[in-house]
Amino acid sequence: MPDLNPTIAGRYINTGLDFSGTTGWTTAMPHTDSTSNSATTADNHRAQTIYTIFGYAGATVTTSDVRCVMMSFDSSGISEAPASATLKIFGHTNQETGQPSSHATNGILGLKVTGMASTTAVTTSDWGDIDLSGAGPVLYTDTLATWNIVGDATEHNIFTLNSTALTDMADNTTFQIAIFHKFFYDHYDSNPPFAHGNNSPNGDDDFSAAAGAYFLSEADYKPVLSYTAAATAELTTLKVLSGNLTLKGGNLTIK
Amino acid sequence: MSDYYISNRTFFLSGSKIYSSEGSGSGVDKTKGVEMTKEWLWNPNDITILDVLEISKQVSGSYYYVRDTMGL
Repeated sequence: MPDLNPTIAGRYINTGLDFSGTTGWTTAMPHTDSTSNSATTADNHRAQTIYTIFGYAGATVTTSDVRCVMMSFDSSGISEAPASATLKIFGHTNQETGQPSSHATNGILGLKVTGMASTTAVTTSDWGDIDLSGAGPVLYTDTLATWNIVGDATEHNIFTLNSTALTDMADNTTFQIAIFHKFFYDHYDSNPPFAHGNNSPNGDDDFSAAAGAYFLSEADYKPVLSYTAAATAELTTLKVLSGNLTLKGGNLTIK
Repeated sequence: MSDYYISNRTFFLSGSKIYSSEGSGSGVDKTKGVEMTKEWLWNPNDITILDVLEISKQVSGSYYYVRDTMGL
């Protein structure tokens, strides 16, 4: 099973504020042509790289802080959609997948990205690429309901990639993915994600969850994209209806 | 308006800006305060954007410090 490490992985953050309405959430969303406030690969950002906050400071004062880890792999060597693939990510410090974890919005998942400005650096303009020119976000993985971190018995987290991701691995020379909380995915186009008046998933006026992930600085903890190559078609019959079949070398085995 | 303590830091108004120093009570050295900027928010720390709004309200009396001074 071939393994690939990303050529780049880093943390993106975007915030939203509305002092006279509820758009504090939607202004932070990665719509086409939007940019993030910050993009970095610095190790001291690993603890809060998958992070979602939305809240009310009053009925018409709303704010949000949304962060993800985004990465790019060189998939130029994959010419056929793999039979299967997984993405392993090592967790760092924080493990929150939702608030509360029993809610339907709980979990962490991967989303399609295309068009990162560089495959060796993170830039704030990558943020808008999550929207896929207005078609996004598009799911690439299953949802993990818990998040393991280095130091635990299980230090990593393994996503199973879906058929959309497998096809894109073969169709594109780079494979790019962003890891977010499920709350973000579920409410991407919601404005606001919940109404004022104690309507958050845990019954108050805010949502907050933080999880961490390693980037590329430590060899043992780099993300790993593993895939099983598609099975090659086997010749099941050999017919010679006329003429001659000549073998000038090698072997012909018929079992 | 008053000083506001959260996550082992005391936030206080000095001139027209909000600063913070480690600790609480009389032991806080306000001469070594760090200005609360948007870059400070995006760096790793235990203060969330919801906390920043509350700090603004408690220390300056208004949420608008975040917009007018921090540029968020």
